[in-house]
Amino acid sequence: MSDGSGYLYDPNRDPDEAARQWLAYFASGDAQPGKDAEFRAWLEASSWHSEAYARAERLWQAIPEVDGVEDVLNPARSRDRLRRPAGAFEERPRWDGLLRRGAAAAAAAVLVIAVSAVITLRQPSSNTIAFATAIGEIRSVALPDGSQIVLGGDSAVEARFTREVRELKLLRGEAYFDVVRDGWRTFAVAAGDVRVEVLGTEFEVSILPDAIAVAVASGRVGISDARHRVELAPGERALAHRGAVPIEVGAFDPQDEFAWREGRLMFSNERLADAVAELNRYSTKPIVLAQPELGDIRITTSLRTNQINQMLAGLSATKPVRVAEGPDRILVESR
Amino acid sequence: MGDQAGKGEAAFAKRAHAGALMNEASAERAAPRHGAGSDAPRHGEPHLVARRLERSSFMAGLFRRHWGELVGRLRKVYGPGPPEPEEIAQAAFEQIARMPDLERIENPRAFLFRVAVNLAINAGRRFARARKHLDHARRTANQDDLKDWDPETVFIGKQELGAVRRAMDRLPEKQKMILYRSRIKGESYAEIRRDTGWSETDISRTLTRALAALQAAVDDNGTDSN
Repeated sequence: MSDGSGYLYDPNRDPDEAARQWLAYFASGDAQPGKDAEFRAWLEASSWHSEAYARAERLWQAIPEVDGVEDVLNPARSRDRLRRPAGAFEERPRWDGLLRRGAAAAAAAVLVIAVSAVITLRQPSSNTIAFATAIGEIRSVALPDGSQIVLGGDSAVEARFTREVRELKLLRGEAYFDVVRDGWRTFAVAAGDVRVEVLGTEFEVSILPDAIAVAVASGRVGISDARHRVELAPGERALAHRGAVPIEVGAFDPQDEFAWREGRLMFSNERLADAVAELNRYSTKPIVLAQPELGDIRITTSLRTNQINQMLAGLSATKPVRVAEGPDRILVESR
Repeated sequence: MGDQAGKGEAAFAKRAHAGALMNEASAERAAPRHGAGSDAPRHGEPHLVARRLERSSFMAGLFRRHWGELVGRLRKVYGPGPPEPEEIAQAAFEQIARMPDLERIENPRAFLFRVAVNLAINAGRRFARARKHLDHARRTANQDDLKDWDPETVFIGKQELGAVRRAMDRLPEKQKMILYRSRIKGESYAEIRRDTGWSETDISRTLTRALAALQAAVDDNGTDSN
């Protein structure tokens, strides 16, 4: 039934009827781009056709303008009348009436089963998809709604799509979201206690050692944690500190911030602790800071993800640190 | 009464910020309209200033008179959201405020509800391709007076709407229900089928029949004094 052929246009109908069938076809919510050529050919075959379609759509557009349309078409009332056995056979019970009532009961049972099936389908477990990258891997993922995620190294995202929402969870690492607007269906990303909600935009979420960072490339993005809420415009980056202090908002350089998508890491006056967290998503051996206070050293540098060792060598030349590579880790200690 | 209207306007201003989120959707629809504005007076001319004042007082009046009712109707049809009824209403006002030719709106209250319904169900998405092809067909056929039929801005007269209403009231319940679910609630056939068990072919046929009955009412309007 998915190709919609069951309700397509019959060439022998008059133009108005054909126009209504086309309109009903587009209203089905199941119109395939593949049928467009057929529709176009029909439209262009005669100005009667395009006139008829314009007329049909004019009426379609006007329907909500009918005074009190929601009451005239009152669905609650309609549903009652449809579901309840009609009064006619209540008054004159007959065999077929009883049979029909039996059928109605059966139909009701089917309905209950159908409803519970729908509810089951909405359970998170059955429609959650998860993506993860290994250390050093950068991966682009297409979501069912056409949105794209670029996952940084050692990062993981879980996505759950329902009719009402697109719910994602950044479990670790960082991800860049290019969100296609889908009507009013919210696209929400949770990371720790931070929640980001958008309709259609591009932004990045990173889990840092002691904050969650959200940087916006385009569109507007609403961000909230347990206690605060801010709205970001393009070019703004928010840092949320687990609800402890208000969310900080500042500007950022998109060239630096999003460079990792091309396998380049850029740090501009960044805390070493945050830089190391990011480097560790691409480093074959984990980098460890021997003294926590080293984390506050500020660094500015740019490197490819496969040049981490060279970058660390440079670090020991310009900062008061020594870098020692062991068999299973790289230790950065003060000297 | 005046106080209530004042509160409403404050809410309108407050929501303008939140409304920025929706601009992308409605801006798309407010995109260049064929034939409109080609002979528009230049910026700063007195009659243009007058016209702008007219526009803003038109919008203020529209807002004062209809905000509350619109939100109420939207809540009744779509529930508390999301999107919240206020958000939809806000987006509808914004879209109307961007229209080039407000004076063509004969029946602002009805038009407002139409715009809000279309936004709520994202009607544009379903019909965008059809609209594009129609546009193309009309243009190649050299029917260049496109503005007169552009379904977004063509209005059905009050009398015709009355005829549609009477015909709608007489529709069988099943046709009413399908029309409501499809046109007002924006449900797909698959969704309607899931709730009712009717096949998609049946739904399509029923909807087509309902539309035929309503169209007949419009066509007969000239002669029908019902």
